[in-house]
Parts: sequence; structure tokens; C-alpha cells
Amino acid sequence: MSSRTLFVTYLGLPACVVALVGVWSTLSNPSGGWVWPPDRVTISEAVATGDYAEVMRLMESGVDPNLAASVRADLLGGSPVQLTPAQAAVRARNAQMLRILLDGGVIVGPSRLAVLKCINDENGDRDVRALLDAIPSGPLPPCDQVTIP
Amino acid sequence: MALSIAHSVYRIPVQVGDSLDVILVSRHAESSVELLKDASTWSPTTLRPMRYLQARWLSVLAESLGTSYHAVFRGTHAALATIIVGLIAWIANPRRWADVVALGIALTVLIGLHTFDAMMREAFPVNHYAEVAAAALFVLGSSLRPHRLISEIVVLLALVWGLLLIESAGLIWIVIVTCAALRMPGMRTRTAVMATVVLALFFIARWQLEISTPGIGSHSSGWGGGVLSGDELAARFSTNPWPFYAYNVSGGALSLLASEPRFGMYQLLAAQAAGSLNPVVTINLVSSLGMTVVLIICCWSAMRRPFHQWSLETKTLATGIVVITVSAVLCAAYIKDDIISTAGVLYAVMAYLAVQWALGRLETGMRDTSVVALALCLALVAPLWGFRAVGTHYELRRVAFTTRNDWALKSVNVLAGGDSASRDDVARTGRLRGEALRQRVTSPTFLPDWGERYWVE
Repeated sequence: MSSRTLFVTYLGLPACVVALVGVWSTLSNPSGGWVWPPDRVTISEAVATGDYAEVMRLMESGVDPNLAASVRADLLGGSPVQLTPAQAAVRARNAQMLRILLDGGVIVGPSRLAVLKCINDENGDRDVRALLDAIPSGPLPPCDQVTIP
Repeated sequence: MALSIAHSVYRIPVQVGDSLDVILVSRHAESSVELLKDASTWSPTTLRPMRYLQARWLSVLAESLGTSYHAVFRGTHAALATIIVGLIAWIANPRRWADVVALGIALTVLIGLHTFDAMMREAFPVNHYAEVAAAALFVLGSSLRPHRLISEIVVLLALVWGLLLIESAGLIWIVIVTCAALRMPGMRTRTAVMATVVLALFFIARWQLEISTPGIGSHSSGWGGGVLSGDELAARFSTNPWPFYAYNVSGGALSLLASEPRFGMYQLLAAQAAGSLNPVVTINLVSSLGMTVVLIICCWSAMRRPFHQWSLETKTLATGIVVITVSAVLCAAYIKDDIISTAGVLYAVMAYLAVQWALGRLETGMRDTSVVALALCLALVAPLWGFRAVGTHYELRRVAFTTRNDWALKSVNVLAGGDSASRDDVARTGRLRGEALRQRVTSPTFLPDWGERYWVE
């Protein structure tokens, strides 16, 4: 093979790679992607990543926003964790998301509220704190008596 | 490449901004004729009734086919992306392996250009600039081939359609007239005359409807390393606008040829002020300047011959130069990527011809110093453009996420226009919102962190 043919092949290589990877990622996308990350997330992962639309879709399709769901590693800490959507919102310091969850029917009883407030004490978000303070409750246990996920 | 870019475009939900309102309003009129009359008087600065008409026709099509609005609107946009790629391949007409390589590089240039990204990321609810770009490519492609009456008719219809869609369609007329002036085989003088009559009628209609052009201060704009608001621009340039016009015209051309400035703002200056420079600016600058240098050498080599010796390739290069120049002039009052997007697709065609020419030089003069320099330049820019093309997919995924989220943050009633919204408006908005939410997208959180620094400006 001549040096010119080799050079021309080298020049064509990036475009070939872009085309082949493009076709492969397009065809493999419905089954969870390959080049691009998967688009399937739990409701708590959607909350953690600020994916408002996915949170709405999941709630409208009947997913219970009061139940804990898995959150993969590196989203809200180094390791995978089980969190309710509200806990994920507080951990992500996302007051707007927390408001959407509360408007969407998330039930926050005293024990859950205590957990949320203790998580927020670790993170310290003022807007989240204001939302949590607005939820009526009786006396809450101190954080050292609360198990934080 | 066409398949994957169409897929990335199709994944983006129908927008709330610039699309929802147009779709809803387009259905208020009793008929298309009534809509044509009404929409012609809605704006004091634009005459774009076709924007509403095509939104109406596409939404009616979706309802009559019983398919989703998403499939029809986003499908049309994705089809436009495919058509643009297909038209460039049609114009290129590769016959040898080296031509295929040149076309591959040209397509990475097309897809990697920020002007192409601008055409794909937004829709109103279909991207008008993409329609104009496709029409301009069709005019050029049919001009390169033997004359056919059907092509002539399609060219004129595309001009009429385009002019009633967006003012940038004047570029279709520019391509028609340039191809006729350059005596390309598929373009007759009579076509150019008829196209000129169509353009004149369009301006007469604008004058009759008392439609003016927007002046300085109607939009914010980049200036140096920062952005000036509309008020600041008006205060600074209302008495003497020429420095601003000159800045924008040169900026429009440079934006395409060097990927700097963007929206009138020189990111190098902004980076200097901020003390940090993202790699994306360097990558875009080097890849664009490298390709532009190859292009300039190719044009210089081809055009210094007498006109009667010009080949079709040389005439195509000349058409590209005219379109880039006129597009830069169109940026005088308001500079943005979309306005130079038609010039962007012509730039990709020119890149094909320049790479094809450079590869031809390699056959004959590998020992010549200038040819070696040309080869080194291509060796540098080819992978960079491939990298930029992947970046467009990355950008489109980010856009899909934010576009979908726009539907989630407001209720259907608020999106439809509040208390004044009709039941039909609310129903259509609810359907569009449901379709947008069902469209699965990837959160940027899951995309690689480094992508922002290397692909997002």
C-alpha cells in the first residue's frame, strides 16, 4: 500500500468512526444505549439529577413518590443508596423539586420530616429548609436519634 | 451519519418556546386561506405566514393520521437533517475512494459546525433555516446538472415557500442568480429573472403591509468579549450604526470561517478576561482555521484562471463565497448562528471540493513543500472535525433534556395560555405535553463531565 493511500485512509478514518459509532449507537439506543448513557432512571435518580420531566412522567404513570428507590453511585455520594424522592431532593438541595413532590402528593409525617430536616442540616440549603419548616409537625427528635439513609 | 443525526434530532421533544404558541394559534383560523391573510399582518417587522401554515398542516396531518404530534413535527425536522446530508452527497457525487474520503470529511464539517447545531437544536416548530439551507443546496445541485423543467419549477416554488417562511430565504434567490450568472448548466437566465420577479413581489407585499426591518436595539448582541443589551446598543450606536454593522458583518463571516466570534462575542477575549480558556474554543478555532486555509488555497488556485476556463467545481466554490459574503451582510443588524446556517452548509460543500482538490495534489506533488504543508493541515483538521461532529450529538442530547423539562415546570392550563385558552388549546397542549414527557431523554448528569469543556461553548 502506497504512502498516499495510507494517508487518504487516515484522513477518512475519523468520518468512518463517527458514522459507524453513530449507526451503532442509534440502533442500540432502544436497548439501553452504548455510546450514550441509558435513559432509564428510578424516580429518586430523576430527582437527584434535576430531571423534572421524568419525575412528572413517573408520578403520572402511577409510581408512588413515597417509596424509596435506588440511586446509583456518584449521584448523591460515592456508593449506591436507597432514598425516597423527597430525601433525594433534599440531598440534591433542590427546593423546586421538593415543592413539586409535595404538590404531587408526597406525604411527610413527623418521622419522615425529621429525616429530611436532618439530611438538610448536613447540606444546609436555606430554600429547602424554608419548605420543610412550612410543613406542620409536632416536636421532632434530635438528629443524633434519627437514622439518615 | 444522516441516520444518527436524524436520530439525535428526533429525540428532542417539541419545544414550548417558539413552537407551542405557533401550533395553537395556527389552528384558530377557520381555513388555511384565512390563516394566510391573518398571519401576514401579525408582525410589524416580519412577513412569515408560512410558519403558521406549515404548523397547521403538520398538526392536521398528525391528527388525520392518528399519530403523535412528536412524530410529525420532529420527524419533519429529522427528515430535513437527512435531506441536507443527502443533498451534499448528491452535489458531491463521489466516484473514487478519495472522493468518498473527502465527502466523509465534509460531512463531519457540516455536522460539527456550530451553525448546523443551531439548525438542529431549535424548531419553530420546524427549523426554517434548515428548510432554506435544503432549498439552497437543491438549487446548487440542480444547477450543476443538465437543465430540467421540473427542477426549474421546484426551484421557484422553493423560493416562494422560503420567502413566506423567513427573510433569510433571500439566500435562495442569491444562489439562483449566482448560478445563472456563472452559467451553470442547470440554471437558465429566465429562471433567475422569474426568481427576481418573485423577490420583487415579496418586497412589494412587505411595503404594502407596512412591514419594516428591525433596527439596532431590538436584540442584545455580543461586542468584543462581552454582551451589550438592546438598550446599551441603542445608546451607543443609534446615531452612527455603521461601526456596529461593520463589526457584525465581519463577525458573521469570521464566525463561519474561524468559529469566532459566537453571537458577536469573541470567546478568546472573554477567556482572557476570565483567566481560563475551555478546550472547545481552541478545538473549534484550530479546526475551522485549518479548513479555511485549505479552502482559501483551493479557491486561489482555481479562480486565478480566466472565467471561461472555470470548471463546475470552481463555479461551486464561487457560489459558496457569494453566499458566505451575503450571509455576513445579513448579520449587520443582528448576528446569530442561524442566520449564517445556509452559508454553513455551503461551507461544507466547499470543504468537500477543497479536500478533493488537496487529495488530487497529493497524487502529483508529494515532494512539494506546499503540498506537504497542505497534507499536514488536513491531517490535523480531519480528526478535529470528527470530534466536533460527535459534539453536536452531545449538544443535542443536552437540548433534549432541557426542552423536555420545560414541559414539566408549568401546568397544562398555564402552558396553553391561562384562563383565556380555549378547550381545544388546552387539549392540544395536554397532548403535546404528554408526548414530550413520554419521550425518554438522557440527563446531562450521566453524560461525561469533560464533554462540557470540549464540546459546549
